[in-house]
Amino acid sequence: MQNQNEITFETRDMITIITINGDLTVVSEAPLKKAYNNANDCGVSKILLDFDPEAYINSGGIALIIQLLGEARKRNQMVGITGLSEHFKKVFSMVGVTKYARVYASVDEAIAAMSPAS
Amino acid sequence: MGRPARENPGAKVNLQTEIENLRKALRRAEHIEAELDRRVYYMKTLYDVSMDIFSNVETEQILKAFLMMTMGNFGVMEGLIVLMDPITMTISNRTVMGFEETDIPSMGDWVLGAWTNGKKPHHIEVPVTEGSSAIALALPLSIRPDCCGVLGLGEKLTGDAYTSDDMELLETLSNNLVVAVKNARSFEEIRCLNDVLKDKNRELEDMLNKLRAALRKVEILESVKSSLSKFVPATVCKMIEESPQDAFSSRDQDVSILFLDVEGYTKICEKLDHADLNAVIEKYFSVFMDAIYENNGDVNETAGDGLMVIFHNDDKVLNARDAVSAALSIKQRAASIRGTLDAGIPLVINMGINSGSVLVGAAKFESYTGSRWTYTARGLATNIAARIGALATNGRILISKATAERVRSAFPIEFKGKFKLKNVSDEMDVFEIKAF
Repeated sequence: MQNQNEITFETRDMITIITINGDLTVVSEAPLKKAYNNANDCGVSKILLDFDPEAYINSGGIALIIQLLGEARKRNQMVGITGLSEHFKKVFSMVGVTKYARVYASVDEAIAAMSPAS
Repeated sequence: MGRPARENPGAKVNLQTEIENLRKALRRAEHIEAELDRRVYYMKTLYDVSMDIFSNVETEQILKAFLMMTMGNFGVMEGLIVLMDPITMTISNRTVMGFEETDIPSMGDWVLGAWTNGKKPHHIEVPVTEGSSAIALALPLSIRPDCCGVLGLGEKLTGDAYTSDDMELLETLSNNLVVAVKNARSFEEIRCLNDVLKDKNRELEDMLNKLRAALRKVEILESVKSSLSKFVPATVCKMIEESPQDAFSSRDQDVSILFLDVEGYTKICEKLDHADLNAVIEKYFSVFMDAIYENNGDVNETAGDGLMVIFHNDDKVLNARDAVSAALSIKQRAASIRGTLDAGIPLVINMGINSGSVLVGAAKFESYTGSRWTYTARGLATNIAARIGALATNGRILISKATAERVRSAFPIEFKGKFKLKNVSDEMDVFEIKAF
């Protein structure tokens, strides 16, 4: 049975971190959209998607990420990804997500790389 | 000091070759691993898609879940599924992701074109607005004769072309989609039929309740009828049953009227108490009723010691004969029960019969306490019958000339003379029926 999603967001160093707990599938669309829209309301320009390394992400979940990347692209927002297991790093790379969002090893590494000073 | 080691050129070449071979093997292993990862991912997608769409019966939800998982599987930003009726060109379902609605101004022709172009995935020109993303691949969906569709996918994010493996997976996925949509459509039809059935059941239940209420009314009316029939002439009951409206209208009819009277009734009343008197009257009148009904008569009124009986069938001669037959039968039966009465008082029954045209039907009497209806035969012929009945004594059956002319051939009759009847201008010929 799929875990319930708990998607939260916080801002650090002008980067909005959207933390996604639980599996990411088709049914995650509403909470993910809500979190992204809430982040947009704050005028965000850089977004870091922080995944739970234990979470399962299926092709429906990846479609949601791709749609989010499409939206971010229209808004000229930079998107980074972190928290992925090795398996999903490969999958994200395989489907081309990594062409639109760089994958980082940790939140700190992502913030360091994405912050305005860098 | 030892001698410096000499380079062995052959061994170096071998080592470099080995390293190169190992690198190639590593690249091949990485490629195989990537291919395995891809295949596992595809298998997982196939499993997830099947699990998701076959556990759903809502077409819109199935299409959306399928499109999302397919797009996620191939790493695609734009995709759509359109279902339509190929005959009417009516689009029934349209699920779009990554496109703006305005990017796709007209779908019907495109869907039909893509669908009729073959069952294999193929590239096709699509009517997207200039400058927006294009559909890279279209896959026709044949769901039912009244439902076809197309799955359209945009370019892969990786920029790679769709491979034969991709096409194979797409066909397998779309086959599952077709089955799931078929199931959903069938379920929707069953649900619609079920709703119709529920409506019909509700209508039937309403109708049943109305029928029950109507039946209850009928039962009440039957009960009322059963009670009223004890007081209302049988002919009236029959007429009301056959035509309630006509029963209350009057009409001229040639009838025979018999008046029956118990001779010396007042004196008998003085001799008997109420219970005995009632027993005597009931005993006599019960057998009279049998005689009357057997001869098609209709007891119109009872008044203590008397009866007014109408014979009003279609044949006026038969009416007169029935009246005389009834009178003779009454006389015979009265004689037969005379000795069986405990009270020991023999009753003498006098009868008079007249025939002629009267107004037969309902009469309404209005009063302050309400209205009362009575069914009778009104007219001179009735009055004359009553007067002739009053003329009869000693158990005689007297009849008028009009009746005599109708029964002369059937019964022995005797002219008794001309009589002045009360309130009748002319003298009347009166005859007596002689017993056989």
